[in-house]
Amino acid sequence: MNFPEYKYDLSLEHDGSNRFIVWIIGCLVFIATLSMFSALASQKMISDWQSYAGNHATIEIPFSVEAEDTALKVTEALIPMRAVEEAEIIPNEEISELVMTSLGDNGKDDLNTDSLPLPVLVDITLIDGFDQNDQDLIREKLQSINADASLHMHDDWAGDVLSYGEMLYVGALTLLILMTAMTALTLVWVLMSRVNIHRDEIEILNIVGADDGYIARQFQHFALRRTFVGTVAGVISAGLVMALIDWQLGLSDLLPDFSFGEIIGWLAMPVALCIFIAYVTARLTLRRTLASL
Amino acid sequence: MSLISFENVGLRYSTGPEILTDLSFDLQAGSFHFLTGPSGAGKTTLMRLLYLGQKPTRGQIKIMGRDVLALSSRQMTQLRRQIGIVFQDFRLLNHLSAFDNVALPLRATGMNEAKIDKTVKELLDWVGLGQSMHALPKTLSGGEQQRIAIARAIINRPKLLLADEPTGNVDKTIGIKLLRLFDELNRLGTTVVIATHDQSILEKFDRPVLRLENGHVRQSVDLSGLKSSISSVGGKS
Ligand SMILES: Nc1ncnc2c1ncn2[C@@H]1O[C@H](COP(=O)(O)OP(=O)(O)O)[C@@H](O)[C@H]1O
Ligand SMILES: [Mg+2]
Repeated sequence: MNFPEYKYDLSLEHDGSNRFIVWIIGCLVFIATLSMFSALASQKMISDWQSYAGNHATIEIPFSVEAEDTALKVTEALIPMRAVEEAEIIPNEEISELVMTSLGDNGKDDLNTDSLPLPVLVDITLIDGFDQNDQDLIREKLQSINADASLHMHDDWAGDVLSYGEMLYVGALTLLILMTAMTALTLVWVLMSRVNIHRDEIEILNIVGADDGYIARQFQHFALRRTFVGTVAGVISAGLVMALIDWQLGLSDLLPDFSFGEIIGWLAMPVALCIFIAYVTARLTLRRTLASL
Repeated sequence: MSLISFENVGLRYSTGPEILTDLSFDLQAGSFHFLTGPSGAGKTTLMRLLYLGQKPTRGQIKIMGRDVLALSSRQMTQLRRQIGIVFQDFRLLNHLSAFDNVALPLRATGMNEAKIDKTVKELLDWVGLGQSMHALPKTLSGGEQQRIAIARAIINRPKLLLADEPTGNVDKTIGIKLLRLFDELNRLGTTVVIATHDQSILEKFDRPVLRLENGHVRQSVDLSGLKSSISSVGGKS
């Protein structure tokens, strides 16, 4: 990568470990970028599940001759309730179809679903932000109509999936924070050892009248330059890896529906973040280290 | 007006013995002094105190009226910009060209590059290195490197110019020329202090002498001798 020529008074460019620093930062940023997209993917997974499962519940009315009548009564009774947005009897055919698939092909010939003791199901949609109290009210209402009718909240079973998604999300975020912290620490370490290595040169600059700010700017420029190269390399490799996965396995379902611009935006974020971190780290580290010379 | 004043100054390196002890003297603005004494007497150490490269362990040093122990880092920088130093081993930055080495003190003050370019080229021409301004120090002779070091020391037009054994690393004729150059700068108003153990130079240039005398290394400075050498030799000029 080419930069406009910058003149260092210190021999910061004459050190074999420069490439090493770029590699370390590149790797950290690579992992951080993948973590960031994993966090986004798990967040999408959670919200997908929540929007599907969160507001839905099923009422099961056990098989009986009056089951259908009961179901009608239940829908009529539930619709006026505050927490209920919609209540719909799931048509018999849909239920039989579900059963048929689980019975497999053999079942089709041997069994007639009409003769099976299938329950009647009512699908209800709840308002956003319904609470336990709303659930209790619905249960009470059901009890008053039919003692055998039961309410199944989808989030009971979706809960496992959600906590799995949340675990992924927290894991990805932790990794992201860890990698960011490691980048900052790497820079602190590099800058402190560099100040030590170039002690003599710093002393000469001081003696000819350079203040700490002037010397710090050289280190800052150096740190920003390395960080920029490392970050861009890390982000580009992460982008390529994701493109490869997308091509092989398809990522479109996993990630939120991003436009090209949004993807570029998300990719630019680690670059901006790292440059910011490098800037702040360099300033703080140098102020302290130079003052202590 | 005294540009430099030492009062009961003592200095030791970490836990070692005192290398300078009870040093008291004044140097007037516009004066030219030699600082002499046998090798190991503490000449370089005294220079270090003068260019603010070292703080005294006791006593008081005032440079241009300021107590060096009471300087903020900002004031320290301001003061250093008025002091030029030519080190015995030059201490050039070897990865920088002659031009960039000489430009350092100007860049440090934030001068714009156009002005730096003009000033540095003029000075390099004046010290006879106009042709070598892009050369790295290591590719130049000792005498040429020294001229870069001198150019770097005087480019800021310092009030105080220090040189540590300037004739030590160059042959005699160059050494004499060099001292004429310092003489010239002194005539223009710069206060000059030159550390040297070379007696022939002291004889050739009749200038006041500060003598650090002690038979043994790491012993206290012979203060009475120092005082008398300042007053006696200084009195002649
Ligand atoms: N950085 C240092 N640390 C410890 N001792 C030093 C240091 N610099 C000089 N000395 C000691 O101080 C004494 C004076 O040294 P110096 O000032 O270089 O003498 P001169 O320049 O007159 O030859 C010597 O004994 C030397 O060993
Ligand atoms: Mg010496």
